[in-house]
Amino acid sequence: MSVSPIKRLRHASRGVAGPVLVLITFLVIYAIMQPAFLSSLLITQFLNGSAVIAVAAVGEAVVIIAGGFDLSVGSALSVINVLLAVHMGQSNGSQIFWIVIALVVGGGIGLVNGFLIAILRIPSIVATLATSFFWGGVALLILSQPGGAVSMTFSNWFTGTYAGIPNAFPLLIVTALVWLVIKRTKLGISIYALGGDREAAIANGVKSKSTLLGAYALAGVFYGIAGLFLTAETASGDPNAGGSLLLTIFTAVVLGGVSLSGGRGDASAAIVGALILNSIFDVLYVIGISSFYTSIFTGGVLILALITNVWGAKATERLRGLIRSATTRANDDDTTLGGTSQEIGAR
Amino acid sequence: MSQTMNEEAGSGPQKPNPEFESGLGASSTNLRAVVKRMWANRAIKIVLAVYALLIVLIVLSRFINPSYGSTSFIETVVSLSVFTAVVAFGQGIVILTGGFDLSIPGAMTLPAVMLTAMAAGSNTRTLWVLPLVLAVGGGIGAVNGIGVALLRLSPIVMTLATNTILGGVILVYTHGTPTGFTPKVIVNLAQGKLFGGSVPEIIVVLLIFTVLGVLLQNYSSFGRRVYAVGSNPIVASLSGIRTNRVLIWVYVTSGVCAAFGGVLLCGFSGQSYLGLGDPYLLLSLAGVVVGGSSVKGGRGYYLGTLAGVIILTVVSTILSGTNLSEGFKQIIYALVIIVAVLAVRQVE
Repeated sequence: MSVSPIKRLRHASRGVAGPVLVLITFLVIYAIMQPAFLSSLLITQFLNGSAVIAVAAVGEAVVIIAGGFDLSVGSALSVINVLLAVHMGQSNGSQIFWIVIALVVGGGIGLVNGFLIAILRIPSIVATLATSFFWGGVALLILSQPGGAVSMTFSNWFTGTYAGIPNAFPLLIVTALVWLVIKRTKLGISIYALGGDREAAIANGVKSKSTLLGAYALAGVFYGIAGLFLTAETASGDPNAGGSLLLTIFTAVVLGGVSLSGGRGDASAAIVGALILNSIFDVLYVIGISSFYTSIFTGGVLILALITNVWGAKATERLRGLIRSATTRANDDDTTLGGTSQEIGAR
Repeated sequence: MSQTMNEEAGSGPQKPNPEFESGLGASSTNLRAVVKRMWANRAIKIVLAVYALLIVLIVLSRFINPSYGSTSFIETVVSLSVFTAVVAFGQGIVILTGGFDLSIPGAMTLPAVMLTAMAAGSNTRTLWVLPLVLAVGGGIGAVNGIGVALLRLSPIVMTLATNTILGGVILVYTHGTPTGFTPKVIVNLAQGKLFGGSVPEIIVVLLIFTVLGVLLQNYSSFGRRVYAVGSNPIVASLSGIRTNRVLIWVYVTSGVCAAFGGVLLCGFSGQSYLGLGDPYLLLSLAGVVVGGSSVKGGRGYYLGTLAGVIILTVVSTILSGTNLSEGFKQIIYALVIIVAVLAVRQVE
């Protein structure tokens, strides 16, 4: 029997629908208060302002779904940022070459984390704490103080517009699609299984080492993309560029509805989480609240999102249980009343 | 100094089973049996391994520079490690329950800026300001604890959120620039010397703090409950431990320790500043981990953490004496953490 497309859509949107609704609510509030928002320029600014956090949060979410944590994301972004700012040339060839290098370096950083965690069995928090020092040091070796520059063409690839559509838009869509595809591969399924219940996953033949290596490497590639966005947006290098982003990235992951205990949620929803976060900042800015209060609001939103994640999941579970028992009871009634007609139809 | 600590480490965790010891002590005063029994205890082995690592490090440091490894070097290192050591006690006890306290930067900085602003250098005002700021630290911890225990939120993100909120509160409170300066009495605590200038006061503070810390963690019923909750919360609650209450007090302890660390740091620098607590989150975490605690909870000793913190301070003191670039220092620091974690684990 084939699954109806509506059912399939509902299945795919599970875990994304909630965050999307919250995002739409905030964007509507913002658009009402600031009608100018609905211009190409402001939407571009909005997307560009969210892109770094959004893509990095997808990477962090992959690790969290696999049951780990990655504290090294900030340093990874810094390394890629200074690498591009110091080495990338003006020609298109050089820029394409260094974009590839950024992805490879990101993946390599992830592999190192994966090696420490999967092979040497160091707890993920400890391992990534150490690698965050390590890559922070490497970033300082590449560029000891803020400086360097990238060409305008490179910046435009990521932060410009094409026919009125911000380039960041298709790039974010592609990022989301990459995860949605990987999610359905063997690696993706193993990541969910491992994060959901490690023992059960291993008992069922999930290779925990290669899965963890894969998850961290994949996260690293996403950090690579985020590093490209970061460099395009700042158009210069800063060895501490990523240092302060860890908390914001975590907030985006939580707002995206990803469970911090692993195994549940959708990494692509972290993009939505980042957009929600940015829309909150914008709404606060329009209301005219001092930037001193921004972090108080961010923290408050984070706690609220956590509460909804934890208690919302329990509530939906209970609601689903109620509906199920109600529908089975209804179905039972159906079979007693309309059973004969169905049987006749079957014959 | 490190020798005496080594002995402390040995004698500390022996006592949790006094009946065992007295029984054995009565039959023989055989030192070998005592050593054998200690060696059989995995946790003690790990703590001893951390101290062995520390001693090796101090001995090796003499090869880098003959002035290292001397008494004055050790005195400097221990004095510098007090701030992290105090904070790491709180971090360690939270980690024992399987959680993390990422709100340490905020919980250090807010009490610090409040202290300098409200006491404004007056010793008499310190009398009420000091308890107040320690209580603020405890209050921050209580918020964390309520979030983790009652609302069942993930400790990492709950404390991260508290830290963000505190960052905003500090900005609002100070309007961006902390005012005032540290009262003389606290400056003395951090910089003064006792016994005719031979012993830094801060080392005495550390000793008293360590004794109190070990008593609380290993010789009190609260400490035993903390270990129970950390090893297995379900079993703990089934055996009648009010896990929520224990969790909340654990976070309160961490908040008070962070506030105390912030106060001492204020005394050390004579004033408070924004970002005062920022380096201590990762340092405290690294100290606890290098000290042999399990990040999954249920296992760890403060004496191990103390040695872990001192190891990290020795490394950073040696590194700051070299003319290596900042980048290399961080890389070496990272490698030391990884090597130490792996080395300590080899003992298991």
